Amino acid sequence: MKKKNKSFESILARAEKLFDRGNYLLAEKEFEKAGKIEKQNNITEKLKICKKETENLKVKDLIKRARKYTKKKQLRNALECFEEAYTISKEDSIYERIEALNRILSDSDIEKAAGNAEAAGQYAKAAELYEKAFAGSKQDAHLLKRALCLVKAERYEEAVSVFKDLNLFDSCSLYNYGFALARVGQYYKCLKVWDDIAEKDNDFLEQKELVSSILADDVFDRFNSTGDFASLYKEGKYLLDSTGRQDLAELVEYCKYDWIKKLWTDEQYETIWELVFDFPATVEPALIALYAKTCFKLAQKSKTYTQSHTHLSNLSMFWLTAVYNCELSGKFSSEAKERENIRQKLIQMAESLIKKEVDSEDEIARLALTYWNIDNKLIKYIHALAGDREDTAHLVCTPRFADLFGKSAQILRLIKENKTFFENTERYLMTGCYYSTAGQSMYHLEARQYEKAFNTLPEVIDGDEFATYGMLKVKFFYGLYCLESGERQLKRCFDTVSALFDISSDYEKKLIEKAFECYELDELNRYEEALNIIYTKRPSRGIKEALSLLMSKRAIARYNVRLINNKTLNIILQKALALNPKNEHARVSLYDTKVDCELIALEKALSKHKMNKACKIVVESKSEKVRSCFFEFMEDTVKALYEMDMENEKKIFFLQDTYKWCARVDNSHSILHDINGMLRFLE
Amino acid sequence: MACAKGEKMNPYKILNIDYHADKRKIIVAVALAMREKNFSVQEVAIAQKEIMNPMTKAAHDFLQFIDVKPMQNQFAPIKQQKKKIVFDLNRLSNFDENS
Repeated sequence: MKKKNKSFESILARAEKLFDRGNYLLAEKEFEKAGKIEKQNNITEKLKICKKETENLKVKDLIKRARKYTKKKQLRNALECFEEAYTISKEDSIYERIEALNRILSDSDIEKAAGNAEAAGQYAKAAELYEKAFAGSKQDAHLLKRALCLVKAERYEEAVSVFKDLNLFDSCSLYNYGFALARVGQYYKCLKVWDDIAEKDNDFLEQKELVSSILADDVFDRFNSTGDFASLYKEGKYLLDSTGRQDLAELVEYCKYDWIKKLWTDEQYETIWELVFDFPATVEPALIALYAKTCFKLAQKSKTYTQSHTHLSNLSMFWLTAVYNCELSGKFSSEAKERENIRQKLIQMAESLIKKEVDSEDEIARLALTYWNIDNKLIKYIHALAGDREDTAHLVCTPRFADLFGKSAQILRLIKENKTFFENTERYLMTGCYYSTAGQSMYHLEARQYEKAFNTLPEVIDGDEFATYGMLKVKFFYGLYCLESGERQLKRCFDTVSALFDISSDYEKKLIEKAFECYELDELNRYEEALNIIYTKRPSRGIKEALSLLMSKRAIARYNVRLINNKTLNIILQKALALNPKNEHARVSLYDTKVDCELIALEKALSKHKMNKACKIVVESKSEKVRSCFFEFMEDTVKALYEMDMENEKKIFFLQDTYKWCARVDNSHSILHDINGMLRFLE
Repeated sequence: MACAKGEKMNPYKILNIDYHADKRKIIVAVALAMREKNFSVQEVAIAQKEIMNPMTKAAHDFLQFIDVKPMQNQFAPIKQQKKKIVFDLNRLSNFDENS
């Protein structure tokens, strides 16, 4: 009995020890042994704990294994582990894992089944299965496969509806989408999709050509049956551009104008402008009106700065041409006076539109107004010249319009043939110039964009009198700009300017006036250089006088800052005076300079006691100042000598010498009387 | 000032008439526009004034309407010159992933 008790206790003790160490598996076995020997409540409880802990450990182990299987993509093994763990623990989280794995395995199975169906040529079935796979996976790859299977199953409508929502990049998808579109009659869309395929496979290119031809047939059919001119234009234009099918050209143009009509009603002026921006070689009056009105509406409507101003600058070109157009203005009224009033009303409307923008201190609008003013003035001349003649009425247009539609040469011929119409040569040349190759440069010049004007001058003028006039004028004004700003382009600007002065002496006067107004040395330098350039080519009286004055002014300015000495100043002044003997500025300056020179020489001679030389200077000088200086010196000398502590004999000797020198200069000067008095006293 | 406003507006749109509308039609259109209240009374009144004045009407006729017929009339009646293509389009396998 004693032995039995001892054995029970030792088993229980071992069980407790294992339990405390957390070794529940072995503890459970020991507790079971102990329980068989003697039943105790305590042992039963411990056994329960051991069993629970053992199960927990097993679940943990199973989850660990399941994760390892998942990582290795052995999803079925993972599922088994999770299922076993769930059987033990009944935990919700494990159940969710099992559900997710089942879904994946199911999708995988569906995908596999779909793949098998596709491989077996059962495309409709495969498409259905891919749809199911997508329902589970929500992956676009499944939808794409479905769409491809639908194409193969010839269920094109469905294929298109699936493809249209997908982002397609690869050639296979793009081709099949395009093919499905073609099979449902959407040829234009098909070609647009196929345009994204980079491959240039011959079969594919042939097929593309075939679809293009089918589309062309379709466009012709729809042209006769439907009124969707926007689509017909777009599709026809696409074919025209991509295949060069010229048989579509007229249809496309026709549809374009019908579409424009619709766009005008819808106030879609931007689109209209895009459609008509490709200017044709010849232009109908109705098209001129369309350009003008679209520009007007856009300038009026445009919200953005750039848009509005592009149309503002185009407005004068088209608007004035339109309102002066014989055919268009003929519709204003049958009465000439009323017609003119309506024209002026329309001109005023556009001008107000531009001026409104100028009021907001806008630089580009200001430029547009400058262009407007030029065009408005010129078109009046051309209208007066050609507007009433049937053969020339079509030439009434603005210079930029003429350039755009190749009318410039005809207008220039018209101007040349009617030279006497213009009030003077310059008006004649200026009008022609805007229509010549120098026209653009003239616009810049009028806008005071001198550099731009100079840089846009035509490279070849080839004896054209109008372009030559433009070149001369631009060079002259750019030259003036250089004179004021200090740019060193004077030779290039002024070497041809004499020809401009021959056309109008106003330019010469303008330059001379400006030359007379300058005082700063830098400015004087530049003006003298410019006038010298001009003088060599055109020694006119005005230029001569201006150059002479500028030479003397500049010489004085240089002398004042000690850049030249008296001698150089004297030489320059003499030259200036030689150029223009009436140059009072040079004359006075030269006189003053001469006196200064004589005074310096006199002082030098006196200081060295070279009395003969001093007397000679004074005798030769016409300056009272020099005389006074000499006699002031003599008076001081005489006074000092007389008061000096010296023997009278010596004083008499020196006074007699002084008397001689003074008498040589002026034998009636009062100093002689004073010296005589002193001599008498000393004697 | 009224003139500037008149230039900016489209009286034909306000009165919902075309440029052939005679005086009677204009008056009816004015009454309708007043009733519909899509535009203010002032706008309708200016529109009427602009349309009734022959000079401003002519200016609006020029600005508000376009005529595309002269451009379209340049073309001969449009007919298909090429022979129609027979639709014969078979799917190419060249682009298939396995090909």
